[in-house]
Amino acid sequence: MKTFIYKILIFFVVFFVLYKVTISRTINEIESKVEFIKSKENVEYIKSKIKDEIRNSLTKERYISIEDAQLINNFLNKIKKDLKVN
Amino acid sequence: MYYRSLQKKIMISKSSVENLRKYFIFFIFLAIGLSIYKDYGFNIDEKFHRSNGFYWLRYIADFFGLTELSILANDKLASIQGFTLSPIDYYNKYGIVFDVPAAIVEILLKLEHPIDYYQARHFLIFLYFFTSLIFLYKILLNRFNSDYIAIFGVLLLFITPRVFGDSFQNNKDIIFLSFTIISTYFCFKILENNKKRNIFLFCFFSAIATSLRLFGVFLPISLIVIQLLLVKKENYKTHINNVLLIASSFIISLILVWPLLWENSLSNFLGYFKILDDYFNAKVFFGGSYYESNRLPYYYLPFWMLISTPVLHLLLFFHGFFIVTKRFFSRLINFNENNLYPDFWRGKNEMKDFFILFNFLAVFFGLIFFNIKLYNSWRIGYFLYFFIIYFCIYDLNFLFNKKKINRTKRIYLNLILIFFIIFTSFRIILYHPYQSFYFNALVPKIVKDNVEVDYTGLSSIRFLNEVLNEESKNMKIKVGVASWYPIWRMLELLDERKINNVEIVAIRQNHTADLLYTNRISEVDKRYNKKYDIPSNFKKYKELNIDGATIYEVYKKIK
Repeated sequence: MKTFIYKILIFFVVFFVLYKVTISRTINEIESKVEFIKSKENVEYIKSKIKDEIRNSLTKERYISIEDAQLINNFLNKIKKDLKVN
Repeated sequence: MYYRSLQKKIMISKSSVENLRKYFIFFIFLAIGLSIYKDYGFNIDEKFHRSNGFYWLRYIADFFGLTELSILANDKLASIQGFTLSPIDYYNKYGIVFDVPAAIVEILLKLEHPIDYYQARHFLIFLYFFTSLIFLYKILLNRFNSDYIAIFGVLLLFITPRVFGDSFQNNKDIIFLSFTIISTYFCFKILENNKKRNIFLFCFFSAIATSLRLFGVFLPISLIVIQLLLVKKENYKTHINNVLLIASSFIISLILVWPLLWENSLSNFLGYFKILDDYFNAKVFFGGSYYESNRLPYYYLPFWMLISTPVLHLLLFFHGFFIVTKRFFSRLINFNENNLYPDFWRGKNEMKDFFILFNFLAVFFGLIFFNIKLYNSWRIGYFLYFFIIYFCIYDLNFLFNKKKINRTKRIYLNLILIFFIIFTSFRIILYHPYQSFYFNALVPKIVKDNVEVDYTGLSSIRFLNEVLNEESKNMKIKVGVASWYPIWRMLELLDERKINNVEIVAIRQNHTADLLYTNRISEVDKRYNKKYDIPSNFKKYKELNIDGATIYEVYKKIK
């Protein structure tokens, strides 16, 4: 009986350690990444990046290339046309 | 007859020489402590713990109706203020075994100046540590039965640089280490003779340890596990009685030594876990990245242990740990019910080794796998140094006594040990008074640059004094802090005549400062949060660098 109890205990300890260093570790890493994405710090960082990008655009003579401008213009016109019900 | 009396005389004189040597070594340790305790900087936690001491002193005085003492404690408590200080009414859960005696010493010695009462606290921490060294000696003597080996073990713990440095200012982890050692001494006594007096003393000291850090609960648990493993048909009553006695004495002692539990014991105890959860939700800088303190990589603790422990300790520890673990597993594999011996050990000494191994592994893996909040290197786990030293000494005992090495090899081994002891002592002197930031000689600079070093701001008082001595004659210096550190707490420690020459500016106003101090600690990820960035009109002016580790940097405004 004693041997059986020891074996069960040792099995659980080994199982726990293996679980922690494999599955639990991966879950931990994923959780950390998700938490970072949701974090205020990251939101602030993205906001500041957008602001930087806007600031950069203001300093450039032309921000959107002629080709892209034409493409976006055509696309917007198409949307406008489709939105006209009658 | 004459021969016998001569032999007896020689034995007596030999033992008195050994005693004298032992007392001399402890005297040297005490003398070292006495001569240098004033050199150390001030730990960020000290102000909070000072107020914790007076908070509980007032509570105890009120509890026992000591009105005068209560008024004194209340006055002191009211005088401790600071907007960076954690609210005492919420975070007052810590055990009182250091804080209250320190508060009483401050009252008894009428210490009014901050430098005086903080230095008195530093010496008191060292006294706790010194007492634990005596118990460590007794533990090792009890287990290895050799004065030389026991003294060597004490020397090894004393010259463990991070413990040495912290034994003058860390009023939590060193006190916990000390009570872990004292508890273990009484545990060894119980394993020898099961006396009730030893059980009560063990429970009392392990309860004190638990009130300081909850890991202390592993001590009675390990002893209970050993008692359960000892249960056999013919002796089960004794061991079950022991288990009940240990559990009940421990719970009663815990309530006695921890005033938090004097009223609403259970709810206050459960509330303590909430505080632990609330406490410290900052980022930890490790390996060049920032982590949540409860989501650190599993290798955080082993890595810190490797880089901050001297090479001699590591070599002896790994070999000793390997031998003990190997023996444990061979006992486990060969275990059968009809064995003549108890299951995991043969004899009381092996039982003591089992206690140490069980505790070490349980706490080590517990710290790693249960997402315990770790920060500021691994100071929360410094009590593991006791187990490390035990394995070191186990190894030494193995090499000297079990291996039957010849005289020449013994001389070489002694020479190697002496070399490493001198080398480690030299490095302790090199780091003085910042041994708490010690890295072993094999650690490259890139590693030191990518971990937290001066987390508790020990260096800030040196910086402030230097600023006052060098910079200001009559003019006011504006100092900003570009790291997560409340430098305001240090102002009261400055020379009263010069205190008005320094003005600390808020972080948002850092650009207006004359000098910026940074101990390179941040609670936010500095790659994304720029609040501690050095403004472009500042240039690095100087830094304190010890053994390649940057302790602090100072930036000066250039325009």
